[in-house]
Amino acid sequence: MTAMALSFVGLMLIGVPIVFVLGCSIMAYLLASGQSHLLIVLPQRMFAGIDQFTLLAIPLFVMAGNVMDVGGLTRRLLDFSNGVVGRFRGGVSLTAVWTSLMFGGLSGAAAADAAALGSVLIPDMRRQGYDVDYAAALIACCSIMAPLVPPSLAFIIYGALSGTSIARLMIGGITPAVLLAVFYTLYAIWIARRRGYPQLPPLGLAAVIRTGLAAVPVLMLPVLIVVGIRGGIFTATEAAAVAAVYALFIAGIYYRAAGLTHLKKALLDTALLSSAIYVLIAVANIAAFVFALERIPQAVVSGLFSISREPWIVLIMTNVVLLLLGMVLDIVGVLILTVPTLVGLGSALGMDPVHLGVMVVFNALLGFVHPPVGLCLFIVAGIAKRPIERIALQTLPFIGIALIVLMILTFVPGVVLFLPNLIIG
Amino acid sequence: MTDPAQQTSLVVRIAAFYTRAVETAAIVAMVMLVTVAAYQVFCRYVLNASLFWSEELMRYLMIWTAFLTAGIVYTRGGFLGMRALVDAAPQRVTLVADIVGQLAILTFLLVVAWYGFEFAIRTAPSQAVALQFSMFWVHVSVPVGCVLMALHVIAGFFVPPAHSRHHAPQVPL
Repeated sequence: MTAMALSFVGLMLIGVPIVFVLGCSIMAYLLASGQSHLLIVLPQRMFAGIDQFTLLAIPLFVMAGNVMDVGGLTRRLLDFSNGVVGRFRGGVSLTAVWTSLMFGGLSGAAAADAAALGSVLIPDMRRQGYDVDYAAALIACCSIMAPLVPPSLAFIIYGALSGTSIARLMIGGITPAVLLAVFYTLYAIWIARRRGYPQLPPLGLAAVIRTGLAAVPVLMLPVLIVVGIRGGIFTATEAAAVAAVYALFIAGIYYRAAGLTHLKKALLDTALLSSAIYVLIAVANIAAFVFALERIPQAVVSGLFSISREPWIVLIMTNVVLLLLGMVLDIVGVLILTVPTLVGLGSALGMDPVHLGVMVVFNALLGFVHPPVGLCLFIVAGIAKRPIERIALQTLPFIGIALIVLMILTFVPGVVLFLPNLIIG
Repeated sequence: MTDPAQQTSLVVRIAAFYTRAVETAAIVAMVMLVTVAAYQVFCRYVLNASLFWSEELMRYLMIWTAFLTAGIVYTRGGFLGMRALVDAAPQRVTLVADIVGQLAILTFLLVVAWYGFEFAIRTAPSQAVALQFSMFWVHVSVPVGCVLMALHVIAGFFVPPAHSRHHAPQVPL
């Protein structure tokens, strides 16, 4: 146990990728505890971890997102939200919020969202006299809505690691994402009024309808997924297959924008990203085995319960631990380390697994925007060419808003569970 | 015998060929994956006749793709770690830390490769349920992937992988 803890902390501190930190420390544990006969378990558990039909949703959804992106469809979402909310004071910032939300239905990935929207909207806001640090912070913080909307990779990974229904998780993420968008909008309007950011003339109803129609094929993708998995018509994997074919069809035939070279790159990127996730899940599956062997989840749960038996205190403590982990690890890292333990905690608290899953993923997503490893922060800083610290300062109010939403969804399970119960039953 | 410059160019040529081959295989695998997935949905919902082999084929196809491309993913910095501390440290400390880390990764990969091969041989007599070939051909993907990643780690001693350079890491999620 000591060998495992020491090698874990040591390797983590010297910057070894989390997947190998986990693998090496498990190996150290097996060797140090004289269980080297169990080493054959490593490849066997790794294989078993990824030999799941559900996981095929990952490459298929990633493919759908990548292909749609090649098709140049982000522009259509931007035009549409600009048509609807662009007329209000601080219009560009509102466009950023709502495009981010819709973009989630296209890629389900925060980093892609920050990069795609940041490269268009940050220069736009700069031109219109916005504080660039604020603009960058806004884009970064909005990007965390993307993984909450179907198709969401984070939920697929959580579902695969915990055995929770992926369809319910995906639909459960919708309300928190919309709530976040509404709160961000209110804050952005308030800032725009206070700082006197420009108000542009409305585009007129005809333009709104025209841009809306142009965006329909893109917006149909999340709708297709939700409708597809409703009532178990499709499994999540089959919905992903339909989404991928739909994306290929739309981007390749309807828009004729996707050239063969771009398409090949999109497919290669799909394979590489899926591979990274597959290897992580494979290694996480050995970790789950060793954790169970050592009864670590039980130890953590009883440790938490020894501090307090009040569910709300335990939940707050869990959220704080997840936030701290999110400071040093990426979201997949947080998930593979904590999910085995959290599932035990959730059942000890009598929590709905879908409620728990959405809470955990939402919480882990905040890691994208706070230092030192916030990936989206790096991305927008790169685009805006501004120091990370300055942007990080501007993200604080947004993180505060996200924390309020986190508290709401933690203590009002209905916010998460209403939609899945309504749609799936 | 041969002069060093020529040798490196040979290594570089082999590496380029290998990268191209793996990338092409990955693209072909993705096309196959989406085709089979779509065909399965079509058969099940339109023709009302489920396929018995499609699910197994897709699972094994994706597992092979994952392990085949894992080395390239490693070199491109697709596996994230906590770089804040080492990146802030003096360059020599970072260098030593990276070498220690890479040796640890190498040990893990070679151990898994060794036992993975044993695992594949042991399970060779069992057959894939639908596709009826030896499970050896499926399970051997694990050691093959680990050996490929190990080669990339060794290459990383000479050309550091993206995750250990001073810039924002690549993708996931």
